[in-house]
Amino acid sequence: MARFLLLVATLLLCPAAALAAAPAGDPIVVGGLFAQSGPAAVVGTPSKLVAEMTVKQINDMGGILGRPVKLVAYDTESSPDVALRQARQLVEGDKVLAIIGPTSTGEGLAVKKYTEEKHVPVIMTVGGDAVVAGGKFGPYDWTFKAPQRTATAVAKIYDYLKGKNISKIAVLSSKDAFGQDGLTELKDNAAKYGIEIIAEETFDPKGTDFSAQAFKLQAAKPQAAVVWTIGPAGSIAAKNFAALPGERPLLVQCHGQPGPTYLELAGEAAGGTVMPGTKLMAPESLPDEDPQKIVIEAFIKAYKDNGIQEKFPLNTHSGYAYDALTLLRAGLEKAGKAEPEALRAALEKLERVVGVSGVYTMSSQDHNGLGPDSMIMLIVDSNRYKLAP
Amino acid sequence: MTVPRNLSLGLFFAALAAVGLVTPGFQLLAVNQHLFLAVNVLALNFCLGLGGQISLAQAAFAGLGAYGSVLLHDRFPEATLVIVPAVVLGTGLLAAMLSRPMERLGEGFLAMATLCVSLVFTNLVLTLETVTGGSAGHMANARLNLPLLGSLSGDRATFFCFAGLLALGSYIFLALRDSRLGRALAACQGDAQAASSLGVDRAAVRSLSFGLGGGLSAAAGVIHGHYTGFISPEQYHLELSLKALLFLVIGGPGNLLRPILAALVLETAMSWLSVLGDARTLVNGLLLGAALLVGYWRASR
Repeated sequence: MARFLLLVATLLLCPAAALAAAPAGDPIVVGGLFAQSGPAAVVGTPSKLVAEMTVKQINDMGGILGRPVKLVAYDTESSPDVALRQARQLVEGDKVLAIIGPTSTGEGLAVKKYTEEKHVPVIMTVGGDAVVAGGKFGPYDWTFKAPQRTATAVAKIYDYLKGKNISKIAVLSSKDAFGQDGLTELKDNAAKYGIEIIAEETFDPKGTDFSAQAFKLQAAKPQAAVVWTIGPAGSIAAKNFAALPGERPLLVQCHGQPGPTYLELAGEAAGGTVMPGTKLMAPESLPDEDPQKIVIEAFIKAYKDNGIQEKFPLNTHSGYAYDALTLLRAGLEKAGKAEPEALRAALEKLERVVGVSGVYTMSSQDHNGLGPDSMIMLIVDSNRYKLAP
Repeated sequence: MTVPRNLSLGLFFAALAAVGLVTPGFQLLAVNQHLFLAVNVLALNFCLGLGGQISLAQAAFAGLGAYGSVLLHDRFPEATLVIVPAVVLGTGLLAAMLSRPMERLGEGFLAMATLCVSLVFTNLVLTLETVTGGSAGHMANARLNLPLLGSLSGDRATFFCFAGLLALGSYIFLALRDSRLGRALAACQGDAQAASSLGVDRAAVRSLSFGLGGGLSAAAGVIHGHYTGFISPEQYHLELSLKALLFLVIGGPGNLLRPILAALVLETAMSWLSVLGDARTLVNGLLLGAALLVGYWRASR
């Protein structure tokens, strides 16, 4: 009896507001796949921290459909085989409702085949378009993707170049899935924007010097050179281009580069390079009426308050896990119940969901929902990212 | 340690079969992935354990098997009975042919040459983008179709395929080791020049062991490719070759069971270690280091 009284007293002492907001009932179990080791760990590890932060925020605000959210996350080791193993553990062992992640495109494709067969909604945080491309990569009814498509970044770059009256470009792309994707999209869309690719070269992303390729491209006299790679290779290419003698083309990097690492590694050579990025990279440049402004500012504050900024300084990829969970929440709220089929149908019909990386409007064909207006063109000026003029 | 060989072999395969029957489906996937590695360890044992030739090309042979079978099945989905033997024999033959010129190389150079075979394979897959899908990978939708048995799919069926392949490989390994050819191989390993002067056709016997290893890796690749449903160069990258070499060295080249056991037990242990979080990489390293030391201590005793 004494215990009961104590409990009642404790409950009475609690602020009424907190009681009303506290989620109740069985938790909604969400699976998380993040590459916390291996080559993709630079993106995967902060993604996991952001996902944990976002789940905590959601639960603090009353959960989803009044139920708390529980995140079960595994390390995919940047390997398609391990990612598939962990995805099956999540679905068959942990009985999750939906999955967010994985990190790399290869992992995504390996997981996708299985989750499509098992009818599990997956919101991926991978860079490559293949997971939601259909065709030879199979159906994508249950697969969604939070980061912008490669085609979106290409459209942004071409729009910018057209505005600058640039029509002859050279392309330097890495020999991995990411670079291959970029090269294909650059080629497929060039004619539409009246742009001509007059030279192209590829390189091994693990290489340490691409001077030969840069020199060869310069010899073709392009007005701009587009470099398509993720990671330190982009900085190396910037340095190689900066070291060329004579008249140098305008250097354009892809949407995989914006972040402090690029500035650090490329140093002086980064100056003047332009690239598309998420609005996360230049929040101060956003007008007040931009619906993303408030979301981005809150995200950056939470990112700093949770101590993630110290370990992994904010870059263009930082918001993807947040966006995946935001989409999941919006989908569940639209569906009104925590069931896979209802969630899938609702996700496809989402309209104007404001995230960190953009404002999402999905359809049965478009499982990404972001257009070129979700990106901004950045220019590196005195070791900072600014809105490109 | 006086367990008769046949008994220990029987015990091992009985235990393996028990694991396959008891483990639930989604956990069997992990076992199957470790078995894929174990078959590659055994394949490398043919080259290194019997022939005394180090090889880092195992991943390329497994990849050839996977890509060959998956791409051919896309065009001829019903021709499993033709495709699989052709791919396995073809890869084995290729491995044997590659081994002939490489046989003349010393140990260090042979390691480099075989390493290059792995790199050439990866680059080939990347370059032939229109056929292989390049680095984005290729969805393997076709299944292995066997007459009477129907299409081969599911975790348990795949498990028994891998286990069967391991048993078949083990049988060939033992039969070869105890044969005249095996003794010729052992002679090459002991003193190559002495073996030649005694009339052993070194290039021929070593290319046989190399070819058998290549064919076995290719067979493992065929099963793995169709089972995973997605193939990409990163799955058949140098890392697989290095892992196979590592476990073979831990278990002791030339020994049949210990390297396979080392691969299965240590890989399983390492995949369970994910609960440790950030400390995992360190513990993985310590575990492998300790295993290497134990292997070295046992060999030098």
